[in-house]
Amino acid sequence: MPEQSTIQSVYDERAFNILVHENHQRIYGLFRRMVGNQAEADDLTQETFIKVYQSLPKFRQESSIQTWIYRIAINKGLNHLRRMKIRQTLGLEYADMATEQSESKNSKTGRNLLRPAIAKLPPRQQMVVILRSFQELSFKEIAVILNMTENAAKVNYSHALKNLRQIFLKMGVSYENL
Amino acid sequence: MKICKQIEDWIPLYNSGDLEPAEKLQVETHLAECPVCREFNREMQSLQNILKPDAISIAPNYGAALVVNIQNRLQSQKRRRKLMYYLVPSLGAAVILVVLGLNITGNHSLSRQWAKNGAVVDLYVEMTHSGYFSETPEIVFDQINASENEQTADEIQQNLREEIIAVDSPAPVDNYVVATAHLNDQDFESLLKKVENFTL
Repeated sequence: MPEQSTIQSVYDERAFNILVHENHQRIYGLFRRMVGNQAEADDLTQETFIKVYQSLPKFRQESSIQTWIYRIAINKGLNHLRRMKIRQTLGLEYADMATEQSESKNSKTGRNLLRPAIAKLPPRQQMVVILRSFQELSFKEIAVILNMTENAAKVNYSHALKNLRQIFLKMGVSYENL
Repeated sequence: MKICKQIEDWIPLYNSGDLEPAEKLQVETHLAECPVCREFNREMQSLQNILKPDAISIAPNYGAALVVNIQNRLQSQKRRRKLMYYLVPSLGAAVILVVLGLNITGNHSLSRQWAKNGAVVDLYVEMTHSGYFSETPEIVFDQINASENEQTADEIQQNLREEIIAVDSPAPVDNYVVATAHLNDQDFESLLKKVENFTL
């Protein structure tokens, strides 16, 4: 007869695997929209679920588990965006970021320049734009995930879009080409 | 002009249908009268039209592969911890030097350069006072806690610089990410500018 601790650990592992299956598309989609690069998105997704696995005993059920997983993913994402900015500051640019920017300069349409433009926003504004426009979350959900008021989420979104407009103007994009 | 600024702030939310009825009415009334804001609205609509979800293709077996990769990484982390636990006492100094060497070359050690800049000293002070003090080298942590009430800010800075250089602790980029996690976006950008403007 297996020991109680063995039974518990098999049950926990199964429960964790179910969590991964139910949430991986949403989290992977978030990172693909954030970094564009498939390998980086995959890495961030794995790191998120590893953190979920390690932190599950501490989950206090103050929010839904989906919101909690989103929060872990957002923290990973924000750290990644800050890591990229620090590396740029130190002159340790990612090769794929430089390649992508030189490719997108060839065609000055809005869609091609969208990701580099969003990447120029402050990290938190990037997150609000991605969660609202691409993940299609409501401002109420965004507020819970980012630990801000609903009004603050709306203000962040509005400022992000105004900043994006300025970024596009500096890139020389005409609004007829969007 | 003041009303135009308020309307500009509301226009993205007006287009996404997220305004209260009273605010929506104000925007519509103002747009009917103001050509500048109408033009702004047209530009914003064009921008918001491209901010739509695009399909992300995910392989059908991605979820299953993800579970396997996660389990492999967790097992690998456990094995590395066990290896350090058993190897270090048995092989002693030689292993420590190799590990430190790999850490320094693999993780872009910057503490020696950055220690001359007050920014990294500020970072270590912030890390000590925030939840990330476990990332601070112990000797630096002790110095900050012992000396803050007894020395001036300049004396603390000078002593900390000397300690950081002496320790020559590898400072992976991630430590700076952890140390700055509590900063808001504005303070983070200011800190990056300080680092950028530093010359050796």
